[in-house]
Amino acid sequence: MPLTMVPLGKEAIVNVCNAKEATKKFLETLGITPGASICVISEMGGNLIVNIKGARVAINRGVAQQLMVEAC
Amino acid sequence: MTYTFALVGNPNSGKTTMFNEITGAAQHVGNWPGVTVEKKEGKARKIKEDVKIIDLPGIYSLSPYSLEEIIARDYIVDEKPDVVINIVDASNIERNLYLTLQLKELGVPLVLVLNMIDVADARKDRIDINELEKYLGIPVIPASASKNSGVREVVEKALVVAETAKTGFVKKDHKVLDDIIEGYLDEVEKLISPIGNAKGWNSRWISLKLLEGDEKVKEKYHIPTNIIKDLKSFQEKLEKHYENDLETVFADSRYKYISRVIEKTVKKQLGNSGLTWSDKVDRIVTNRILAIPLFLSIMYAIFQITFGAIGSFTIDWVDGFMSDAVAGTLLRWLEAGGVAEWLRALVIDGIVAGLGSMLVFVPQIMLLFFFLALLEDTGYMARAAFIMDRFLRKLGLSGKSFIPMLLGFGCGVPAVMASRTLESEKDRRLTIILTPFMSCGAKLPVYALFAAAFFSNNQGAIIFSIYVLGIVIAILSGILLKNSILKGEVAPFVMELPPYRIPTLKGLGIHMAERGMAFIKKAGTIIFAAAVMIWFLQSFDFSVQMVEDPADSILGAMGKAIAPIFAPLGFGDWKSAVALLTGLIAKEVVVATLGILYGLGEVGEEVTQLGVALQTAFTPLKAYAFMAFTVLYMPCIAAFGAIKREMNSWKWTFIAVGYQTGIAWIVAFLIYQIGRLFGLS
Amino acid sequence: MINWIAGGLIIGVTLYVIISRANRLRKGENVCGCDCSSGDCYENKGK
Repeated sequence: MPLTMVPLGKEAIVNVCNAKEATKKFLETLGITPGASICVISEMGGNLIVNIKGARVAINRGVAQQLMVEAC
Repeated sequence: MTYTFALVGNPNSGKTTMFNEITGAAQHVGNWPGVTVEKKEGKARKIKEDVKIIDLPGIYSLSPYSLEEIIARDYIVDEKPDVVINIVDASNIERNLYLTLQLKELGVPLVLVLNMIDVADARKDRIDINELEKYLGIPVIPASASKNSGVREVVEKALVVAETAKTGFVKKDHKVLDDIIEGYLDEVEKLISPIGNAKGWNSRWISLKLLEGDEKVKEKYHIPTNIIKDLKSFQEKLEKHYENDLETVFADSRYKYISRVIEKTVKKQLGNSGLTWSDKVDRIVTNRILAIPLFLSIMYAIFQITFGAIGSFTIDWVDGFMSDAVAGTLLRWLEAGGVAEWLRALVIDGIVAGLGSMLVFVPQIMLLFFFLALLEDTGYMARAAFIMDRFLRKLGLSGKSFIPMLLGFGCGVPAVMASRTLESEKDRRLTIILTPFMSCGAKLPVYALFAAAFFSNNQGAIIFSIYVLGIVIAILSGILLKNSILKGEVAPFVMELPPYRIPTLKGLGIHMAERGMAFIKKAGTIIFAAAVMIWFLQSFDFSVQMVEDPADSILGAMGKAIAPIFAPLGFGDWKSAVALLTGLIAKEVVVATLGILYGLGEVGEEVTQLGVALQTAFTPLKAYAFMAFTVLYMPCIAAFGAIKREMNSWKWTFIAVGYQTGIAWIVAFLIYQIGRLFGLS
Repeated sequence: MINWIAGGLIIGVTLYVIISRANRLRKGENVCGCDCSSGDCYENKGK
């Protein structure tokens, strides 16, 4: 399921990223790689703030929809 | 022997603070990513002479995907600093180590600094320094730049590393990537090293980058096609084996290694999950209902305080000081020296009137920037970009464009330069066109002057409305341009948010002092020169005869020639026209020019008298239209130069300033004409 | 005498400022006459 479906505060595991090449690359640099655990901290109109490896990253809705995760 | 040490680290890892502590410089520290686009240089004055320190832009990796990364990587590879000092945020160690691994791959002499160790300590994270050194194979120094602890040790350790590196003793590195990748890497290195050894390359690193599919390295080192062909087959095999693309395979492999290191060396009391107090603040601040009202209220409150009682108090104080102490003393000197009438006029009516009318607003400007610095240092401004993204996206812009725009409230030049960090050329152009609509600090004296003269009861609200006008016009222009000449997809928005921090007084002090000093420096150079020139032009006519009435002067003639353009906007007199024209030198000169032309400077006449004089030429409606024109029309010559450089095209430069001036005219026209329909004058 | 010394000084400074700015602008360098703080503003040296 896409990251946007994850309820606030629930942890999930990153599965696959369908975003554009450059965006995907940047997300990977930030630690959003397959198998990483990710948690949604806050949501605003579909835009998210997530916790990834202890850092807080803002992701807009479009990208979040392309980021597939699995519930854990 | 002089050494060069380069500071490399993630954005927000406290690199610039470390730079300031080592060099004794007072560089501005931003609390959001992407502010520094170029490197800064300094000397380690406080600790050891002869050590040059380079502060590189904050980066997340050494891949060539963003401008900052390219600048940093090229510097390390080509300039070969003696030691790379890798600044790591100890409270965010896992993500920060990703860059560390890439620096290790590069094989440069490396020192790891665990900065902000106090933050990690406060969170009861326990980091085993010795174990970390063992796993990474590099020296690790705990430090806290903001508390000035461990800074000396960092430089001393770097000196030791530099000495060791000079002897040529390099420890054989253990492998980081997994065995299969390392196996292919050995294969590629076998192909590269014959060429590499001859040319003195770092073959291992080049092989790694080639295998990773780095196009920039392929071009830079002119790799022969037969090697490229073998490389392709290795890459295909790798992708097939992992059933994923190359970038993911490499990123994943590095992060797996980091996870293993972290597991052995870091004990987190709280763990990665669970809400920190920073997260709880975010839940409120970025709440879908509260976020925008909260943002607007904060900004409104700042303007109310700055231009309310406190601001007026500072004006009265400086005003009194300027007119009594400075102008009075100068006049006594001039009379005692028995100077000629023309020199007396030049000093008093030109320089004192011009500079004085602008300088009274310096404390107010410093106050405004104190509050903006407070918002930035706490980390709120980065959230503002996140909050605005949803809003901007509807208009065809990404929240990323908001950062150059925020910088625009300070000065248009760095703001225009910050647009470099945007990937898409169309977004870059659009941002450059829109950024000058953000009212820069230099325009503030204009509003402060007019608001005090015409809207003394609600100065804060009026000036706030001018700022909002600039933002609204930028947004409407965004929609217009994005749907016409700059069509394109909206860029994604992914940005790290720094944790909320309690700002230090020192940091805020640096911000304020910088603003104040920059203003005074500017007053002493460009505005001084402008005041002298304006005085000459308004005192003489074309036959170089001194005139009685400035209206007959050269400046008067110029003003009268362009004044009709502004007549439909409500300020068709030649003095306003000239002020707007000279404002292109620097926006403060608008005020300086009005000060000279309205004959300020006579002793005993306080600068607030300028407001009274302006009431003869303006009405509140006309004053508002004038302020609206000032916020929107083409920026000063320095910003114009920056626009030209970043656009790299005369055509686009003129489109930008032509658009800005055109919009300014239309908006001021509408304000004045609609105001008149409602019975205002 | 004092007229010419003081007047000359003022005009000299003015001309110096104008010429140096114009020169830097022509070379495409930053004319940081703006009130940008030192940290925000970088002198582009032949970049």
